[in-house]
Amino acid sequence: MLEIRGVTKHFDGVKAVTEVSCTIAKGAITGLIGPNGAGKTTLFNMICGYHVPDSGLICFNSLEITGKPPYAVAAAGIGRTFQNLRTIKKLSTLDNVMLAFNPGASLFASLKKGKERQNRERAQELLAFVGLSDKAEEPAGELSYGQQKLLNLACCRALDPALLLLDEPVAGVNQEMTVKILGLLRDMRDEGIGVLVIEHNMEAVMEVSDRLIVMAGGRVIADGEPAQVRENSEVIEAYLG
Amino acid sequence: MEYLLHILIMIGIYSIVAMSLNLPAGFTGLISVAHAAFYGIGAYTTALLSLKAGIPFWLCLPTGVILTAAIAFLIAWPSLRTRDDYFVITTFAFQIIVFSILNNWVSFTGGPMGIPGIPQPSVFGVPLPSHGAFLCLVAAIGIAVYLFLNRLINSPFGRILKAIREDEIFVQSLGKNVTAYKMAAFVIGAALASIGGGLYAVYISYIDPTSFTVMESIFILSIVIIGGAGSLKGSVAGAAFLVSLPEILRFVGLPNAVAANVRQILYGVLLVLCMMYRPQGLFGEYAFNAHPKERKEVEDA
Ligand SMILES: Nc1ncnc2c1ncn2[C@@H]1O[C@H](COP(=O)(O)OP(=O)(O)O)[C@@H](O)[C@H]1O
Ligand SMILES: [Mg+2]
Repeated sequence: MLEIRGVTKHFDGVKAVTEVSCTIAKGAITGLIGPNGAGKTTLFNMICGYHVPDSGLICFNSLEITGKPPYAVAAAGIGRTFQNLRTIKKLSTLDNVMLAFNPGASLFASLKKGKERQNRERAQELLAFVGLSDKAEEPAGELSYGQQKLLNLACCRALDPALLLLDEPVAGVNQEMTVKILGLLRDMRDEGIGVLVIEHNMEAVMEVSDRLIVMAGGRVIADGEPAQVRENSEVIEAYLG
Repeated sequence: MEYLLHILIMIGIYSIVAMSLNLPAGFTGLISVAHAAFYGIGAYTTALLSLKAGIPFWLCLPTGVILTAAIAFLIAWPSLRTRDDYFVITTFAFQIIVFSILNNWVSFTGGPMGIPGIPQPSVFGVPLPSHGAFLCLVAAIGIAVYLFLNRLINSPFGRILKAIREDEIFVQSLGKNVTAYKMAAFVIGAALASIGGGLYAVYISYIDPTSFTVMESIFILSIVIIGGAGSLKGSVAGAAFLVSLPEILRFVGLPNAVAANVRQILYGVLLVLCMMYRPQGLFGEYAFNAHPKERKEVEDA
């Protein structure tokens, strides 16, 4: 579904990503792991249009999206979360979800209040899905860290994406919340959404992934079943330094 | 009585202009110091059309709106493609250019001599008889502008503007063309400012470029900040406060010449006090500089 071919991005000499190729399937959870600075987030930013690759090609459902602006990528069906929490803190939790509806719709469509009631109901459903129903009217900034991560997932779902890119969804989150978030990832996979997840929590990522991609120094060094990858000597070396 | 009416009319006009700036600057976080230029374009359009072409006032206003919107669109197009920090500089440059044109294109704008003898507006062919009637007109238009903006900011469109102000990277990730929304906020704001300009021109019946300087832009921005960024009521309150302030100074017995200078200092002091002790202004919910720098870049390293 998502095809990445020979993508490279260097920042003033820092070789963040070099010649990365891989394909991401729908209806599966793919883990993306690697030491800090491996280039994982940079790869996400290129897929989502925040960085234009120096070279290479990114195709989504056989449509080229290389260098398309972020909003167009989101509208094409790729949702993402950020490593640093991003929510609109002054808006209510419900309004944060409402923001995500109709990705790529024209500006004029947003002037109409027509479908607001319908969208509000749908947003309530999505908040129920992540277990934040009782926080709907609270400003997002008042939510706990873990709850804001859940809110990010609800926003992504409101985009109705075919593919979801999650940048460290359980980092800094307690055990209970981690279990909850991993459960949500499985639910979304089972609905047919492709999930690509960056995660440092090895236990979590091993448990949840159907497939594992390992990056180090800007390159893919392993790609396969989690059990297989775990045995890979190059991976062990990269992690143990 | 006439004096009180005059102040109320000026408060009404500045309310319209400040509310219109609040849409881009207060709600969207798009700081512009070109608002006096748009206000001026509105004033000159109405003045020139009514004086030189005999076009009735109620046709001058919409013409000004369309012309101003078009000009705002043309400058927003390139400047919104630059980084945010440069946007305010681009608006500054535009403000300077507009002032120079008003001041130097003597054959068209009258240059520093301005345009005297702008005809009074008439409603259905009957000239507005008094300042009282004109105040009603300003109030009616002011209320219309308020209702229009209020509806806008409570629509999905307004929600997106408020979100852009806080974190545009996040809004992009939700499939919103942030540049288009900023452009719309800027253009709508400019277009509405021109209505205030048209009203000012026919009310004062004489305009010259000194009313549309960068100082004036900053005065309008001060109304928005002191009244409260992101609050339409705040803009009205801010206009009432800042417009009547010099009158109060005069009232307490300061000679005119002194009052004029004290006025500028007082505005500056007020702005600093506001930033220090009440950054959200009189009625605003948000501090004016609410978006921290890191929210503007996808660092995420
Ligand atoms: N916008 C940027 N400008 C300059 N260097 C960057 C930028 N983004 C990332 N880098 C660098 O690229 C490398 C890879 O970073 P990143 O993709 O964030 O790694 P990861 O997410 O795997 O920890 C790091 O050395 C980082 O410092
Ligand atoms: Mg990262």
